[in-house]
Amino acid sequence: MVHMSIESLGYKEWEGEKQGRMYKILSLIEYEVKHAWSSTWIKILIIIAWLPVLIVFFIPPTEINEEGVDRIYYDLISFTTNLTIWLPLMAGLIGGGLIANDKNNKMFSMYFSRPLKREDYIAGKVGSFTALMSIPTIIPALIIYIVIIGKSELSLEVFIKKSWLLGATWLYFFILIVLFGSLVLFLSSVVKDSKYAVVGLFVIVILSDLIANILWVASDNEIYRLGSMTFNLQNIQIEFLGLEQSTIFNARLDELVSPWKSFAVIIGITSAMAVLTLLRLLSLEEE
Amino acid sequence: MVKGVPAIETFSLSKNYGFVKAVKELTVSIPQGGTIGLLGPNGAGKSTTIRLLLGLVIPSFGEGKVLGMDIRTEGLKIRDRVGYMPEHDCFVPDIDAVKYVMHLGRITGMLKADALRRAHEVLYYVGLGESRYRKIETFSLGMKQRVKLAQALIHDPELLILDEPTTGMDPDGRIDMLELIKDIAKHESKTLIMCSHILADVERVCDTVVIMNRGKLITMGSLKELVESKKDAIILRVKGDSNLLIDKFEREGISAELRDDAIVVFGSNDPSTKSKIMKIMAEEKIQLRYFGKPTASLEDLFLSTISYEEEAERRKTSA
Repeated sequence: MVHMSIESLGYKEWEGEKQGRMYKILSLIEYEVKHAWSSTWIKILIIIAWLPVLIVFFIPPTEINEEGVDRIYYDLISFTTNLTIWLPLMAGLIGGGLIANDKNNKMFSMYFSRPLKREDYIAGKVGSFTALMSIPTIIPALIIYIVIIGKSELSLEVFIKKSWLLGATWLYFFILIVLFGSLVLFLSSVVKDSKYAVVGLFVIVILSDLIANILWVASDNEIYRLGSMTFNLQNIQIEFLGLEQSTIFNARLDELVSPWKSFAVIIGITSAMAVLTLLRLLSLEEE
Repeated sequence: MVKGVPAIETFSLSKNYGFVKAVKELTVSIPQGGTIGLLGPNGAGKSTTIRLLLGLVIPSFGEGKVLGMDIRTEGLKIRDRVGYMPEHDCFVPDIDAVKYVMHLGRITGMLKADALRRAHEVLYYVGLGESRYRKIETFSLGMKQRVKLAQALIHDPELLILDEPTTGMDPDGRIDMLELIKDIAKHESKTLIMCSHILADVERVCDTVVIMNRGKLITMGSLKELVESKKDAIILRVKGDSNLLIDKFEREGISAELRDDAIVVFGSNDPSTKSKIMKIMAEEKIQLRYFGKPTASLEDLFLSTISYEEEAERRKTSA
């Protein structure tokens, strides 16, 4: 083998065209999704999340009648979207390290010494979180819906009539992803280790439920229920999107608090978290 | 490269963090091409200056331009044409050198195929051709330094900022790295700024030096000229009271200071200085043990400028 010294190769100049902001954001998303995919825990969670897709193949076609189709669909979907345990765990594992790892690995100086805006960096992180969270939520929801159509002996008109179910499920998942995404990215920007972001997300979800319920019971004032993350999401799920409550995990809600109020609370939390994350990134860069 | 535009131009550039003045009224003009050494002790303001030049922090006062672009408003465009090699390690675990360098190329806006091809090229160039598919965490400190240089080169920047590029490297690796830096600097279109506390490295590759201390510019100029200027001194070793002799010299308008056991007399290029020294010593009956020129190096220059500045600062404070 002929050994070539470093100098003999010489420095080569590069002439090429550089792409714009969207390309850089998409590159960041692609990189993060591939990187997250190397985690065994994330793979396990995603496999579990896809179990309903398997289950739907075992449902006898005779059970999929016009009255029962909503129930079957919703029960399958809610199997992996239980608000208190499953989603915070997935969101934490997927998003907990997105900023914390860059901070620990001192990658900010690599990213921000390049023509990359802080907003684009956050967009890349939000994009990768959304893409990864879609794998256990939005994609199975679509496949389950298609399989139910394929297996049933119902007419196509019935499914066109029921297509709101898929749209509402997607919209609901989107709200969940944005809410948990904003929370977990903020936590990821403040913690040193990504596992604290997972714990932090659980603490927020459970504590908000606990405190809101104690205040509600003690004062008998419904407005305190808006402090509970789970309540707000269920309120939107049931009253706003028209999705039925799952009989497996959750009790039926009282219909006393307007879903618009819950929606406003979620928008408020998401916006506050986005601003705090951006401020945190600015302060991290100054350090 | 736009000819005639300085690589870096600042006017009264200042940055305050609360009450701390990290950079104080820095005014410099560095032409394009060549290698510039940025020197200073810890806390001198070198890192803040780099961050200001990259447009990462907004100046508190003053102006600055990099390659003709305003650091306040054109940070993104500046970073598009600048390569930065940080001092500390900044690597992602479980990733090989090619993927790492390619990823950073794509973040700079290079197409995937271009970034991949270029990642191979620069890794070969820095001497990691054989190890480019190895995980970075398995690399030695010297190899990690090379990866950092490769990522800074991937988009072929016009201005390259290298922060302590030889830190932690063994002597052979250090020489290889310095040769690489010299090789890059051979290209007319490239300007290199090297921050280093290893003065021998700066002396080896830089043709211009900028010395900073406590956020201020102490001196700047051609390394050769600055070192030569320090040769305008005489070293005296005497038997007798050195302090008394320095007082006498100063009364006669000769600048001198005591350094270790020797007296350093400045302004030896003036022909009258030597005769004045001899006359004073004869009058004071002080015996001369040694009379000679100093061996000036960058280290002498650095130490004397820093200590002179600190002495001046102390006098100003006590006054």
